[in-house]
Amino acid sequence: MTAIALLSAAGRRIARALVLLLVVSTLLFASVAVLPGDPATVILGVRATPSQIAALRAELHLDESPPLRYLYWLGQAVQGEFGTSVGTDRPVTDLIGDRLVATLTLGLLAFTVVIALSLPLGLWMGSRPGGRTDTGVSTASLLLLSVPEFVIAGLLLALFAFWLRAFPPVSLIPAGSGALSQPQLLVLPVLALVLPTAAWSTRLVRASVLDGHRLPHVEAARLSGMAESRVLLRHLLPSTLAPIGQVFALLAGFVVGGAIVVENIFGYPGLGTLLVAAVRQRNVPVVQTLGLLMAAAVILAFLLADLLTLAVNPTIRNQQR
Amino acid sequence: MQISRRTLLGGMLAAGTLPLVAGCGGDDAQPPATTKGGRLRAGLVGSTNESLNPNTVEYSAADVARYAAIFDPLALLVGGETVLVLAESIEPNADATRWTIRLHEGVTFHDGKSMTSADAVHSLRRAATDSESTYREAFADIKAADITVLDQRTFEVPLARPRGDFVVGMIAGLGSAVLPEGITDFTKPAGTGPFILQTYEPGKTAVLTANPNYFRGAPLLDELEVVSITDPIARFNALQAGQIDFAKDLSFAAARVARGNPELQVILGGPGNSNALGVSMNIQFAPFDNPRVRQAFRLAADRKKIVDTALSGFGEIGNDIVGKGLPGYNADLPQRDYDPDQARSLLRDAGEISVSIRAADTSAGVLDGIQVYLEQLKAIGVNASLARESTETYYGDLDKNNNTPILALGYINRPIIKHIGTWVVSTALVNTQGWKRPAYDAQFNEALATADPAKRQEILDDLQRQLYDEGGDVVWGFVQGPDGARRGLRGVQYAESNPTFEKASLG
Repeated sequence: MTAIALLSAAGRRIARALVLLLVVSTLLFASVAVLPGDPATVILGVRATPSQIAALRAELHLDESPPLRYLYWLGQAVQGEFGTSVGTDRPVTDLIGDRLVATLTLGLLAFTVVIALSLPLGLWMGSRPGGRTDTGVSTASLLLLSVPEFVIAGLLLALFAFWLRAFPPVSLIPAGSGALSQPQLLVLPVLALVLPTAAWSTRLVRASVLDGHRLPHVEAARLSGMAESRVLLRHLLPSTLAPIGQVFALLAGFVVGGAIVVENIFGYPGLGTLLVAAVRQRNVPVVQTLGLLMAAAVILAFLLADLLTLAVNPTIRNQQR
Repeated sequence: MQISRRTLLGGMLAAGTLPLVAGCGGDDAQPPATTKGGRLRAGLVGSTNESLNPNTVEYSAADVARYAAIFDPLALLVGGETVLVLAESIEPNADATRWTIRLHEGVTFHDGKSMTSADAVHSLRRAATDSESTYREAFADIKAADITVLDQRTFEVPLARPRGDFVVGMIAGLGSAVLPEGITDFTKPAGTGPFILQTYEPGKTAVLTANPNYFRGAPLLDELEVVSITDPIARFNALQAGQIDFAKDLSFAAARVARGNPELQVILGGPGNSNALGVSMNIQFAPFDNPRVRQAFRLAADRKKIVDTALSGFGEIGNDIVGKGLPGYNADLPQRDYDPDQARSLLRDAGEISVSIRAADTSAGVLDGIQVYLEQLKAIGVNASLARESTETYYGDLDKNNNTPILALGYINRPIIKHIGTWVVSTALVNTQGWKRPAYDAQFNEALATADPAKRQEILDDLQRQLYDEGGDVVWGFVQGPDGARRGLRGVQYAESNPTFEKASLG
């Protein structure tokens, strides 16, 4: 019974996720379509001749209405054909290939560090509110939250790359290697992603834990004389797992967005730098595909968090949803 | 910054088309190279679509640098001079309708095959006729199907009309690069150039090794790495931290920092590798249909101040004519000086003048230059303001640009003969000065057709004088780079603003 209920709930969510992706793709398409400037002229540059421009406009179906263009693209996309990068015959998927690996490396590393930092810290702070750790970390995180990401990245650069000369400022991965083979190139970008995100997620974990401590069964366990560590592990943690899962799903969104900024500052050869360049060059197929990819990642994270909530929380699981 | 070197309509002409010294380029700003060996890492702007296919290579400055290292053209504009590269000689017939090109002997591609006229002819044909070639317009006068091979190293190019400027106006440039006949795969192409491609990761980096058999002498460097770093700040950071040795196109602020850093140096390519900046007044529109007003606007410009303020000194003043430092420039025209009093008196009869100058942040120095110029216009009593537009759309509307009373101009500095054909003749697609004079067109065509360089230069000088006296452009300066490098770097040359490294060394 529970397994079936879980599966059907999951199924409904997956269906919703697909609809969401469709909506995202429409929005993406619309936002690039309203960008000023004729895409063909922007792509070909100042010295393009009218005949070259006309040819590109025909290739991009620019003379047809936006909804029709969108449908062309959608029709291709569902068959797994995400188009070719504008101005070449190269499939978009080719272009994305190893940049995806690079960004995943950066993102997963950052994600792991954030969880490893904020989970224990948040647990500790939420269990000893007002203590020295709590006050210290809360203040530090507030500071980090108030400063824009690119300023943090700039400060990291100034301190570690130029003053201490400990790490390189630009992630120039040597030919033939991957990001992981040059760990010193990853330190600053990961730090730049981790600091603001961890600040934020530590506070949220702390808040969930504070709430968790006030739950009746947790109080009861403590009052019954159970050791604090057992209280935390066997009663608090399972109850806070669901809200913390939601926090980490949100993290995915932050990491994806933050990666775009960080990659461009450090010249990291991932999807973030590709996206900025593609928007500048009005490379619509690339922008669409990347946008969808990033949206799908975030949606997936929320899907997993929702499933975790369902699996962990019996009351919600049994409700009609 | 600008990277594409294609001319729109058939190129123009200039004097001294029959070159000259093979090998010695124009950039004498640096002492000659000395140390052998090492790897030079250069950082330039890249793009999402990098490839070494000649049809698309010019979208990325990094790709152009790689392409120029791997392939050789028949001739090139290096520094401010036309230089023969793969061609040993390029000679016209009596009326400049057929040009005979003789290639150097014994040149081989990186895979060992000999380079012959068949390869050169094939490459030229492709550039002139391929539907996606960016040189199709520039080579429109070449009768590609009728190019004849005379022997292993000689071939003849017939033209549709006499073009005395065949070399300077058409052939000198990467458009005449010689690729192996029948090449289809551009992932690891073999050229004749000073460097051999070893690895290429489009959008990221390329590593090349020195070609020990390069026909003009092996490079001093062992290796060259060309890295794509599109963000200008990241590029400068990489230079400062020693991750790269050469960074193309620094911001003025970064260049000032580099100047003050003992480990770095700023390299300027000279006016021959620059962009011309200023404003373009359309003489078809009031108040610029009045020649006194145009003259006043030209005298109102304190050119030195604009270059020092807006370009941070990284440039040279202009004299309202494009092409300074390049073949064909009329250096005899007296340098216009700042003369606000004369400007004011010229405007006295013109009444109240109000102008709104269209401009966008299309390249470094444009907007700042306009701001300084606006102050100078106000000082002579003109009610001047800035109409700022978005960079992406500024060049898009041809119609609008051809019918604007006054707008900011930024031309790639080209030999004047190319410039006139692209921007000044009545048939030009974009003619921001509104210069439409059939007699001028006829005179220009005459210059194009004249095979004798001295006679051609006479006509060109007169064409420039007409623009100097009555034209609508105010060219106040030529902005170069600026590029940054680490202190020991020597021997970087520039061909139409693209850096080449065959004579470079790290010390």
